[in-house]
Amino acid sequence: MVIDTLKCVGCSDCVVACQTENDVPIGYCRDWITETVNGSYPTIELELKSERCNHCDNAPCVRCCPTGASHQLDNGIVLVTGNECIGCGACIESCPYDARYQHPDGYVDKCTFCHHRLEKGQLPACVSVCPTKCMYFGDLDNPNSEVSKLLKNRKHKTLAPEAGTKPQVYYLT
Amino acid sequence: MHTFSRTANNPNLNDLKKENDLWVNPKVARILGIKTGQYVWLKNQDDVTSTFSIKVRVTERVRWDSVYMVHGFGHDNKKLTRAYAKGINDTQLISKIAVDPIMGGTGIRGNFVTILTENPHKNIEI
Repeated sequence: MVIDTLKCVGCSDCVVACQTENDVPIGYCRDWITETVNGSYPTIELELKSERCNHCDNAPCVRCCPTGASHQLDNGIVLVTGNECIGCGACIESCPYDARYQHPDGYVDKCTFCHHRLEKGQLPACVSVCPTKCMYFGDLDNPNSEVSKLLKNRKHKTLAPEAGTKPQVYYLT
Repeated sequence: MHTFSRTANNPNLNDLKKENDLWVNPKVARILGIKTGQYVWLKNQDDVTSTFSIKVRVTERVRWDSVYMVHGFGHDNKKLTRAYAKGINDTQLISKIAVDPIMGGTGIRGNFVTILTENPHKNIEI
């Protein structure tokens, strides 16, 4: 996933779309908006980002799961098999991005990149509703994909690279 | 955040933002001795006082001579169970207006507020 921070306005459409698409209970969220302000008036820099699970290539949440409920698919998407999860919460603590939460039904939940939609050839809900079209999703292993080309042509960053998790959500800056 | 007054009680929108904040420049906050998270009341030039209180957000994103709040909060109808008494109503504080006699355009920027840190309604039942 590639997100253009220069176009995000922090409208939170992505948050509500995800809650609606994935039956996320009110009071919880799989994605959220962050607002970072630097400088002092009138010289201010503002960065708005939509954050979620980064489906890391080196995911601590998969490594620390005692039952294997937290697992990674071949395409890189990290998922939780709800009925194998014992709700121990180790994964929640291990995530440097605070991406996971304890669902009231007992299992641990997080962004799934809407893989149920990907299977039907659709985009994740958040990407498809974004009104500024600042979100992109595709195959980074394909050098000709839109997301690969964006990373080649634009300055970008990931979150907490020092954690060594190799996150797969990139922010264009 | 809200539109046409009718989204105020929406559960998803309330989850995103249950009340508005008052954006206060850090220099002003320092002079007045107010901090982020504190609740204050606003009083305007015509002595109109906000019915409810609003949470302060100290931020560089606002000028020292202004405060900002998101419109669409401070509802006083108890039937709006999620929205009632959350944040304050900016339009309540707009008591001075100038109306263009030809096209009706309304100037509302002649309204100035004072920040009150003590509840001005203590002796009144709302």
